Amino acid sequence: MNGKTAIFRSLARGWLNGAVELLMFFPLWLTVAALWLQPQLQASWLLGLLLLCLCGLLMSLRLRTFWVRGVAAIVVAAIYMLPFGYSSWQAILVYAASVTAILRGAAMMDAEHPAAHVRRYIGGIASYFIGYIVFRFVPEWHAYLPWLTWAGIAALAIALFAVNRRVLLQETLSDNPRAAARAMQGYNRFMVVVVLIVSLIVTLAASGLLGRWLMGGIRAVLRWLLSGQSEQEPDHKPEAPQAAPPALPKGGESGWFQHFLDILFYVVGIAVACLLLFLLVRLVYRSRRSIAAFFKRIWLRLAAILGRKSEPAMNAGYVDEETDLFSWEAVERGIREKLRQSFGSKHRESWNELQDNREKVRYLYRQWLRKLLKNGYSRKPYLTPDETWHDVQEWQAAGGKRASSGSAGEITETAEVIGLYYKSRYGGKPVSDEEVGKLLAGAAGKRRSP
Amino acid sequence: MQLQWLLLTAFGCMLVLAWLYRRVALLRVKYMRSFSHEAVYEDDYIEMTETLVNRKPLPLPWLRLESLLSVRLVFDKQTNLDIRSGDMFQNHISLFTVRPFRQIVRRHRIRCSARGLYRLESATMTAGDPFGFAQVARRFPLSLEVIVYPRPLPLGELPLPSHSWLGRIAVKRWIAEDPFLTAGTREYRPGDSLNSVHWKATARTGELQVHKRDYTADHRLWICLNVEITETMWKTVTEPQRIEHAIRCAAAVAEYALSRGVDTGFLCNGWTQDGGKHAVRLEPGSGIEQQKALLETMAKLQLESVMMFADLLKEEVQAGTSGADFLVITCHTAGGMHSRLDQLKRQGNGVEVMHVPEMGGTAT
Repeated sequence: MNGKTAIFRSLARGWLNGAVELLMFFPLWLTVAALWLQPQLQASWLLGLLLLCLCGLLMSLRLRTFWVRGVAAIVVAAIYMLPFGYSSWQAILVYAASVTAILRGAAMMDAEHPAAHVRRYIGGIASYFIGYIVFRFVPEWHAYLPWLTWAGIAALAIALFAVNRRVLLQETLSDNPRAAARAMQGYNRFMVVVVLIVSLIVTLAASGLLGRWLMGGIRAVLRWLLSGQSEQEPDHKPEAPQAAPPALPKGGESGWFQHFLDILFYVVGIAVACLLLFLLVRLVYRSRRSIAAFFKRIWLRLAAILGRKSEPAMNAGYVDEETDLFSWEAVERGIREKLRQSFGSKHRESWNELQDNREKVRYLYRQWLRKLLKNGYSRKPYLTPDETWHDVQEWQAAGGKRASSGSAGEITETAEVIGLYYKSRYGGKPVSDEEVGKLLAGAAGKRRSP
Repeated sequence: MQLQWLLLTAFGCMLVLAWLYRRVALLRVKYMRSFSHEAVYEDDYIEMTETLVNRKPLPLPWLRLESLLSVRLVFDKQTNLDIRSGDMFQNHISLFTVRPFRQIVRRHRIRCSARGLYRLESATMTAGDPFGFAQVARRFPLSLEVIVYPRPLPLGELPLPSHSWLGRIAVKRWIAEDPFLTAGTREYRPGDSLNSVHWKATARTGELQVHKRDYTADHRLWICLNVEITETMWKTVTEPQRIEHAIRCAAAVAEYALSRGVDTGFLCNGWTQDGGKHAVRLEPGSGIEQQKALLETMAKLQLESVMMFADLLKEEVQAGTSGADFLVITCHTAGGMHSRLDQLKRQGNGVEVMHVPEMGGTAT
């Protein structure tokens, strides 16, 4: 990059920073214009601030001393103010604001990335907050509210991006934070946009504007769907003479029928719209990879045209492989399980559902434990099955509520269950039908005995 | 729409995000790290794989992983990774942006620049919201290690007075027949004892056959490494590069001897990581396992002397070691070493001294 290009880039960056700063404190400039300038000159003066900012930048290339810059700014602002006139003392205040704009522009030459000015930006957002309230209180200034609103949305967006970028720069803990943050900023920008959109939607919804827009939109779509007429067509022509209402066959019958049809059409229309939306979302989801590939191709082509380095070249030290873990099947399973847990009856294990002997042995072990818990034994999950068995014996010996009689036969049987449990659970060995049959016979005998 | 409500809503959204991230940012997040090899040689490349799984619908706009690694594991230059190096350790920082229900496998290429045992015991994960209001951190225990063997020098570069000495190690093993190793049968030759006759083979072939014995060496090779630069050196090695060179020589000899089936052991007056501050003594043995043990010991060797090398040799003399070859790799032979080596010779051992040249110098 040669010297001229570097200067040109610095100028462009500085001007951009200056413009952002002007936007951030737009309520202040607007107040100056609204207070002390005639309405027809206000827009010109406000746009002219961008030029003053550029003048300040150009001055800063040659003039390094602050007071020299100050003198130059006073002279340039004096020339700039000629079309606006010096008819009153108020013009002096506007003139002072113009000098400030030039000096701020000069300061932007050496300024860093906008992320470095986060604190100032937050101040700017506060100025919008206060400014909007003030402008609402002055009836003559209501005309400026749309200006403030749009500028405020832009300022908010810039401030959010700047805050996010500053966070990334800080969290990298890197000596070269810009390079580190660059690799992550794509998705972060997307998140900031989402936050901004959500904020807009919530505000619109809260103010009722969104509801009105939505209802209007739905009505328009339904009219278009049902009658093929666009919303642009007037519903009724005021100049047309009022036609005499046709005679109804029976009093009021057509009224409720019409109402019913209206509702039916609305329902059908909404259902069709939902179906179309669902199909669209499904189509987009299914072809997401090809869409992503398409946009990536476009991005790479643009990057090649603009001479930017491609991503792999930047991340030469490592290779990332990203895998999507999301599946609709898993979501469906999860929802079904949640619903079953919340509303359905508790799933009872069924002997017939068990796949093999290993599962059957584990089932018997769980049954044994459940029976003990039912009888008052408190399970200690940190114990192994063997230790649990010893603990149960101690508990029974100590006179706890007995789960069983504790006969010699039963003790042998429990020991067998635990032995087979170890074999199937931890040994990974197959359990024969005979072994399971023996356990079952023991369990059946116990049920028969009084 | 009123602007002040938009500003308040945006601020509210940021607060909600902060609350959400503080609560769930690191929930259902898994992290694993592994090395592609457990053991490599110096200057070899290995791959360090980081696997990060986010199994929840909340994306992580930034996630930072920090771990302390030895500076001797050299990473390639990277952008969203930063390494801050000290004298011993480097703080390895890896940055991620993780989308919902995503798994990221990141592979780093690492050059193992020096021998040693490198451990990674934990990594700290930090994540937060996009606007910096909330930050949560969690420590992931890891138990990873990679051992870097010294790279054996090419045999031609060994600082020996004559390279034929290495040949002698191999030749010595043909000295004696081993009565326990049978390699088939052969025809009787005058001088063969009668108890070596293989009667079944004789009956089968109709000619007198005897057991064919394989050859073995009763000699064992001790590689003795002296980490002292001079006899007056106190504990810490003053010329680490020179001793590193000596260790590479020892590794070369050990690999060569073991590849020819010579039982090889290791003696050193330094100490090893994990082995306590005792002189190293690895009994002679053979095979792949012995080779691995020798290289591991050399990899873990610390550049600090725990006893005078002459005293270490004295212990061998007192232990009555005989019938072995001692290859002494040393920077000096002063301080009573000569007398100890003579004693070892008198006990029936072969002794060779390999002088480690000064760095940039030539073999002596």
